[in-house]
Amino acid sequence: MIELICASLAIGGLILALTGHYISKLGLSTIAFSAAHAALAGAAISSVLGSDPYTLPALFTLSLGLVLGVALPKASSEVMNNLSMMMFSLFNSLALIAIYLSNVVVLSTTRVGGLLWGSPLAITVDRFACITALFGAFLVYLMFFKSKLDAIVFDKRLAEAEGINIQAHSIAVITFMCMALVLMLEVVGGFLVFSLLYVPYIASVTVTSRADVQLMIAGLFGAIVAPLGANLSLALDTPIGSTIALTVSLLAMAIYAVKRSVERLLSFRKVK
Amino acid sequence: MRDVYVTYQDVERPALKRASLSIGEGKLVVVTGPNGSGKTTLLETCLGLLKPFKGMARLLGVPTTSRDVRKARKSCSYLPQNFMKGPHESYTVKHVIAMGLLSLKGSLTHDDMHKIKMVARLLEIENLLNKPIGRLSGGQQQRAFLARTLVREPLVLFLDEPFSSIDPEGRERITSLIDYYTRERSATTVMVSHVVNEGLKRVADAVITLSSGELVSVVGTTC
Repeated sequence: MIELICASLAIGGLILALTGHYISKLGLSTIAFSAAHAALAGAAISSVLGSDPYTLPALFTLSLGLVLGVALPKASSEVMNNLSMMMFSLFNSLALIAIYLSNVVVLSTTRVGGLLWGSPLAITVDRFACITALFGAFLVYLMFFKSKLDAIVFDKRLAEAEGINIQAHSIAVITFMCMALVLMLEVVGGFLVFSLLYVPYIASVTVTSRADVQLMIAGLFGAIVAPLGANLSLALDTPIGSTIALTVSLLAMAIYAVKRSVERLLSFRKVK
Repeated sequence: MRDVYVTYQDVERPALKRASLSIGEGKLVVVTGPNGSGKTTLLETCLGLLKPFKGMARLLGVPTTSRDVRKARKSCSYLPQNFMKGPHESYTVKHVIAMGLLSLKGSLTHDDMHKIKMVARLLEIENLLNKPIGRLSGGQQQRAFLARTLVREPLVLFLDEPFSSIDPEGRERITSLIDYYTRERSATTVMVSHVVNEGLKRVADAVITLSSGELVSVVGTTC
């Protein structure tokens, strides 16, 4: 079971970190934020209705992601950000109402607990298979279209002028991210799952300015630190989601501190 | 384009009005005019990056409002006016030039690499190929972006102020290079330039002057 948890978290952490890299680079962070909360609302409602944990979250998050993705080229970034944050509040309210409706006794159940702070019991062989398949699909997508994504990341306007379909690639990245969020939501917790999306990217940016190396570092960071957090949570008997989020954040801060110290030391030596 | 009007969001005055123009194959056309006269708007409307709210624009025969314009753009190259990248930009010059080819196909062949080196040599940036673009001067960056436009071997070249950061000697050389490319490939070049010097006048088939969003004069033949 522990092996399955670690493997699922390694692959889940990896795909969240890789999609998070592109989400950040493509300026889609607020869309991702609201799409993640749409998944949370879907998961909360499905727990009230007693339905499976995938369909409603996927439906909610993909619908929102696609609507915002389609609207993306037509709206200014300010409008897009505000719209995304409005959707974030809306879906957050829906999630909390659904959790409230599921009554106090249910709050202690694995299902609702998973929604809030994550649960290792949410990891099943089925979920592991889905995460692995999604990772495989994302790798195939990267194999064919990474060069196009690089061109968009480098200069959106220029890429558009050269005939690259920015909207299609943005929607593809949003879709992969939404699916990864749906699969990892109940494992890491609805309010904490973003830590695996953004923090690996932040850590990678701290280390290097080279985009390709950033992608590799972010992926490695996600794949190593997520199972590390899970192991710590098992050892310390703390909630898995919070422990993973804390581990990820503390390690990112440690990387930043080491980088700054090394830079200072080097500049001090230069002056000397 | 025929009777084209373009406006920007929240701006009442059209950036381009009553613009009617047809540019034929193998022509090198220079668009000039004062700041804010609509030169870049005209270029971006031709490419379909800006949609006219009135009138019709076509790129290689494809209406710019149609979905197929993306395919037409694959036969074009664009050098934007605001090309400068900050020091944090880590893509190498080789990678930036290669992106021009990679937007057409998935991977690079040995011939493509040879093409990249050749075009870099022509633009005198061969020794900068492995340098991060953000660490280069404005002129060097502009040459790299120009190399990206040429390496695609486009049917239509759209160049927005291609000499803004280039020294006078370089301008002459690059003007000749663009002229040679246009004639040799029977390509079409639409070049926006704030200043039309003797060198440009010599190679241009037509000089279009814009003022307050209107085409005020066309000297020479565009078709």
